[in-house]
Amino acid sequence: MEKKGSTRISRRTFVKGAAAGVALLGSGAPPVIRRALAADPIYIGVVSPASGNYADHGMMERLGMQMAAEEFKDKGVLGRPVKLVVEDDETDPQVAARKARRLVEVEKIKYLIGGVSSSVAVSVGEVAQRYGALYIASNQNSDTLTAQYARRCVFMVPPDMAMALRTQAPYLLEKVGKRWYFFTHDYEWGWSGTKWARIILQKAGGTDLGESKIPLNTRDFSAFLLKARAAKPDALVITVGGVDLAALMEQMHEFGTYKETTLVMTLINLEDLWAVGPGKMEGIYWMEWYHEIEAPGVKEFVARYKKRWPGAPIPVPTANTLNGYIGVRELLRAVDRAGKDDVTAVIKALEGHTVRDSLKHDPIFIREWDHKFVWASYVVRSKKPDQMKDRADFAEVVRWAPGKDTVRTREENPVNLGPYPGQ
Amino acid sequence: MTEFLSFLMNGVVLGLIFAVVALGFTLILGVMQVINFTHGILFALGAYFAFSMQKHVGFWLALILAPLLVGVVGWLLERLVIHRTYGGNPLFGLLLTFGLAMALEEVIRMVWGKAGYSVAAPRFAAGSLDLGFMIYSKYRLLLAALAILIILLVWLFLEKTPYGAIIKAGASDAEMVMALGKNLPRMRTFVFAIGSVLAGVAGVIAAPIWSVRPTIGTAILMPAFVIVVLGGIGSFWGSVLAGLIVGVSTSVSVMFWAQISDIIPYVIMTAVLLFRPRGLMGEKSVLEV
Repeated sequence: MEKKGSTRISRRTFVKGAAAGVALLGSGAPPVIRRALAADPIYIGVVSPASGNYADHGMMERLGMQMAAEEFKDKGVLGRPVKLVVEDDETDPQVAARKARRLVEVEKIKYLIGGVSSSVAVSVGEVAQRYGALYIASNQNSDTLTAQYARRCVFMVPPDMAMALRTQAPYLLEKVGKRWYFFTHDYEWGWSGTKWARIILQKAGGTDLGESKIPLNTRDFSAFLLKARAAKPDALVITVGGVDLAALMEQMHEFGTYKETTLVMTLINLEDLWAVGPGKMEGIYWMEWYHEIEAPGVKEFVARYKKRWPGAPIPVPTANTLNGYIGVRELLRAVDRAGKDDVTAVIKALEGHTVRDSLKHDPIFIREWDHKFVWASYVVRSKKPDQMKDRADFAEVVRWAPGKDTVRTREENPVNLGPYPGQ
Repeated sequence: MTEFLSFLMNGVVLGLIFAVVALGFTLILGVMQVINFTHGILFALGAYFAFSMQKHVGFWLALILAPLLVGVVGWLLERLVIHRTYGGNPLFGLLLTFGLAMALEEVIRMVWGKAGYSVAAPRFAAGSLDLGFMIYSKYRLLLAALAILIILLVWLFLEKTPYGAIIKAGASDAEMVMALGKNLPRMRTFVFAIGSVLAGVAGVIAAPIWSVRPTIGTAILMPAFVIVVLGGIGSFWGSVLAGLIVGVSTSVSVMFWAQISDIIPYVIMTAVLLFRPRGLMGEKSVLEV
């Protein structure tokens, strides 16, 4: 019992205060401190854009990651809770590398995920490799991450641009003329898209009318559209993404570009379609996934998303959401399969693994020699506003191809991932 | 030649939009000696207000109401916060408006969300028009006409009205204006509100071509700053001329070497400042303090 007026702290007050302090530390302190206090969670460092050209995509991938982490809320992984530690990569490779290094070096986090921009993914992958962490590139599509930038510590979830163009090729060559002009986002992923489109055009004996390399963060495309129009192409083949693509689509509508040529997007995301709105898109697109496909588990996944995120800016999950979800889920399942919280063991648990519940038409096969997730992708045609059943119903799937039929073979992409961490 | 003409004309139209964005910026900088980093966010607010209003009141009424609302926001900002930096180091104003811009961008995210939206052009100006030597966007032609009208109205206001004369006098000798019995603090508030209205009107007319999203304010701020510095701080026609130079150089460079289109304004600015440190038509300004 405390004496009246005494400044001494009773045992009960001390215990209460200490408990409150620990609780506070548990929620607000860095993982490295929390790890010493709590039941040692499995931390996943999320390096994902919350600003810059791919902020919308980053937001959608994080919603999927959160859904996957919550699946392990009750049982945990190896009997331990799961925590996501999120950092904004600002769609900037240098910022991303700095934040990834901080997560790995200071916070001692072993697993990283995220990255919409391919340049960001390359830089985070290099950090992971150097420090022996495991990085799951959840949403970048350049084929270089599993070629010249392939590393033992890096896995790539989405289909790449080689798969994109190989899935699209039969439909494009049947429906569109063979005089193509290219719009290329002037960085790793943009180059990758145009490179594969050119290979397809060349094989089909078509005419390459030229290319406009579009700097990242371009807002006004009028001059580029005038240049493309002067070339009189049958198809304008576009590998431009994010906010820039939304602005480009807006301006193509304004200039009536779609009336003069067929618009072909080598990759489009629902986030960009959503930003532009109905009625301004006409063309053929490649999508990694679409929420309306009739594949096992998709309806349930969409329903779960809607229930979990009732106020989400986009009311349905996008391919970025799915990839974020699959990335975190498969990483945690691999930790569970490995039976220990060890990067090399988890890499080995991922390599050569098959995932049946992929939410696409084929299972995912994770190749051990290039760390590529091999799974299907889709070709879609835009719907007119009067054909849309709701605001997110932009597209109609016209073709899909299993990942194994479009992915590069080992002969085409002979990479060597090098030794396992610590070996 | 026809191709070059189309790029040139496109550049002129682009330049006129840039000039309208830069006018409010240069007015506030020239008259009030405040490097107003909230200008971009006021531009964004104009676009967002128009986006919300157009569904209810249509394009033309939104073109009037949205900038007026932005003017009210500008007036409040000046009265509540920015006036406290007058007389101090210009860096205070710069830092304060920089912080305000970041805070207001978050407010935009809270109110309208993180995702971007498309803004419809008025129905009569949708689609394209065959001009003989080129096919061009109808809305951009309307936009160019509106931009010319706005530039002329601002010029007439500054040159032909007593208020304009007081504003210009206040810019060159504030103490004398106060000695003559003019209410300088009220004039400054008024100028800030007018500058905000100009940012807002630029946001409204640019929204249908650049769409709206929380970051459009930050994206437009740097070109506006480049135009103001290139034209000369506080120079009305300097800003118009610099806007046209930036627009034309950006457009025409795409014809020859697309990758340099986004750095060409900076190259031109650097080249001009080497020979004319106060810009094309500038006089001594706050940047030299």
